[in-house]
Amino acid sequence: MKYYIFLSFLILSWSSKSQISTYVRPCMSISAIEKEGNFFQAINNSIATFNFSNTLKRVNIIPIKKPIASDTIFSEYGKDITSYLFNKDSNNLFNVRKILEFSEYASSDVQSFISNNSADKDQILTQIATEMLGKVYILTIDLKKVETYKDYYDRKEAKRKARNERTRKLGGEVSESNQKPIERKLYGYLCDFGFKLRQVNWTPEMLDYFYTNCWIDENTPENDRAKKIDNFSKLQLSSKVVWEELQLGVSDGRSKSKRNGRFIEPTQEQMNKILTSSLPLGIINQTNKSIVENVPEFKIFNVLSSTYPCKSKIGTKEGIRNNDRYFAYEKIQKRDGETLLRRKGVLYVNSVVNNEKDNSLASNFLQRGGRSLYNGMMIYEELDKKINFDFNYNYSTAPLNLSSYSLSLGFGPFGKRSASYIGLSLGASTFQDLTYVYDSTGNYGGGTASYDTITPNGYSLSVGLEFARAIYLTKRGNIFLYPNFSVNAGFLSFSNKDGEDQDFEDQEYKPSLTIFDARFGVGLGFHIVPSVSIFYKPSIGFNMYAFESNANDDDDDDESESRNWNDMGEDLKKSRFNFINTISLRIHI
Amino acid sequence: MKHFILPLCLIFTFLSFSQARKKANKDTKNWRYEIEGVGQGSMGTYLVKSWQYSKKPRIALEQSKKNAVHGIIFKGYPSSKGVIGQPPLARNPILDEQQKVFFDNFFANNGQYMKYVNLTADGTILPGDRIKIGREYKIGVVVSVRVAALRKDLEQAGIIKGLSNGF
Repeated sequence: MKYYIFLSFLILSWSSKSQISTYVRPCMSISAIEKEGNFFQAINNSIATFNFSNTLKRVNIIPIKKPIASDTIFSEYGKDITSYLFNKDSNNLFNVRKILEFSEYASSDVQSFISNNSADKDQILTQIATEMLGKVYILTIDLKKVETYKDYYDRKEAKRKARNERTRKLGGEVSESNQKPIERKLYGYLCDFGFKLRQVNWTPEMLDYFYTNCWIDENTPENDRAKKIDNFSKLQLSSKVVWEELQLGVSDGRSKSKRNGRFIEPTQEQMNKILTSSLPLGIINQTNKSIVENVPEFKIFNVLSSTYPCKSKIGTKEGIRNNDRYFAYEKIQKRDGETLLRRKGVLYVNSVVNNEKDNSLASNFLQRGGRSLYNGMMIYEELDKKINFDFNYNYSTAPLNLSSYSLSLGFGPFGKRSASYIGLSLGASTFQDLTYVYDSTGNYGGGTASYDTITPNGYSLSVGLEFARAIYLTKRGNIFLYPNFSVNAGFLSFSNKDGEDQDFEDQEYKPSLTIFDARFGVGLGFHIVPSVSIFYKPSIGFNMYAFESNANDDDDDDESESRNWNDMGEDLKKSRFNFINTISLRIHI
Repeated sequence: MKHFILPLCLIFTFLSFSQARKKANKDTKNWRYEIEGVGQGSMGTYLVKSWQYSKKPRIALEQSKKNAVHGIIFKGYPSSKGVIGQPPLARNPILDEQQKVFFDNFFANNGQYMKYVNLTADGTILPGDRIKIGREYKIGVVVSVRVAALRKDLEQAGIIKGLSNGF
């Protein structure tokens, strides 16, 4: 390849470090540390031979995947990477064709425009390649333990037997559930592993040394070549660990089919398929997830090419997925000349385009909070854990409110247009002088009922499950309707019979009430900042079913009676249908 | 009264945009923009990034074409990042004043200058090329200018002298 291209690599590596051009795909090679054992070797061989390009979309994979002898020997490995990136051929000649190919694939449409309109088409590609050289990584997988589900069940079974034996020795009785053997429903493998991600130190000095002392091409004089080949064989590339996970786990268990009520054992072929194909894939997927979450260079960034609808020219080539979250930033220059990025909004990927062949295609994003966005603003990928914490205050005029205060743990957004939510809530409320009618004998069905009207104080605890969907009303996604449906169970505990502290201490029967209700409402939400929103959620509640049990009953047998709403007193009758006003504060992580 | 609100809003928006456009044109005349070379253009073209200032980002984008042509005629650009700089086409420093009528028409909105420019794809900006400074935006857009055609047309119109006239 031409001399000046490499020269410009050198010049650019010294001069244009701060130049941000586009998301530059990191280059990564994958290897595993050699280990004795059939399972280890089978997985390591698969890692060495598999093509993970569909799994690891956002990186250029360097296919030098030989198992390495130990965790510390990397110089040979670094040389292999160098040979691959600089396309070393059988005659020991280097060229920049391969790395320019990578650059061309990674280039944005603006860069393609510049390249196509330039007299020197390779100049912009060389710039990208220079940035790419700073992002060369070596991933090493270290398998720690691989076992079959059979071994796993054997281990559990042995533990169960030992525990039962111990219980019997101590004179205890083994419970019925512990007497049954472990059910061996699954087949497949479980694997514990760790990994290290190292960044190759392609410093300008290193590049300079490599070019001056090791580089050979058609123009290199014959008498220099032997010396340069020798220099390359001694080339030491250093690297630093940028991220590591010592203990990760992945399991691939498939359900066994049943015949005549008995599980059928898998064939060797089925087991081999899992070991050599889906388990290595699971390991790489898990590794990739951890790297993308924790190494900034692996997070995608780009600019908004248009707004409302918000679009950015990234897609399948970069491996983006629906519902991925991006933060939009504005670059601000302060009076003293310092520039900073200020967050302006949150976007979710709505539809992903296939831009493998045409880098001018743009994926569609939906804004979910923030200020007006403009063409040219930068967007950065930011992992969305999809966890919401809601702090709710529920106000109702009904005499009984199952939860005045509640805390919800929710998950979402999911689904189309990033708008579905699910949540689990825990609530509490107190009540005073609640009129309640119950049978003081607790014998509702026995025909000897002795109805007693009490006005107790007490509290209720509730758990609920909520389903909701956000319907965004504004283009910025700051205001949204929030239709929601929830089912709740409230557990009422009476602390006394009436306000004058007549309690149930000496009574054989102390009523405890469980109420199931359903609520439907349409809330109105507003994003204060993109990750914090407030809601006003008016809803209609309907108490569907109630049963009473004896709180003073100590035996294990559950005795409860279904109660009729009309027989439980005026306050509960009035509370059957109620109107609840909820104010919520949501924190989204 | 409510019948007037919508038309008033529309008029206000229109006025605000036309004010911003006027301000952008004034900035161009006052040389308040920057251009830099981003690559050696292919035969007969220059590949430049023009930086403009405006309170309205959309206006800044539109102005980028005008500024690129204006810059190539009157300013030129220095060498940087491996790109060789170019002198201005106009060697006379007061040419814009002398040929005011011609250039007013030439740089009118959707004027003749449009013939010589190509904007990147659909005006996509590179990351980091949209900067907010105070209340204004500074926006850099990559533009390809057909300099050979521009030079030829200006020579034919008698605005600038041909290269051969210098010898």
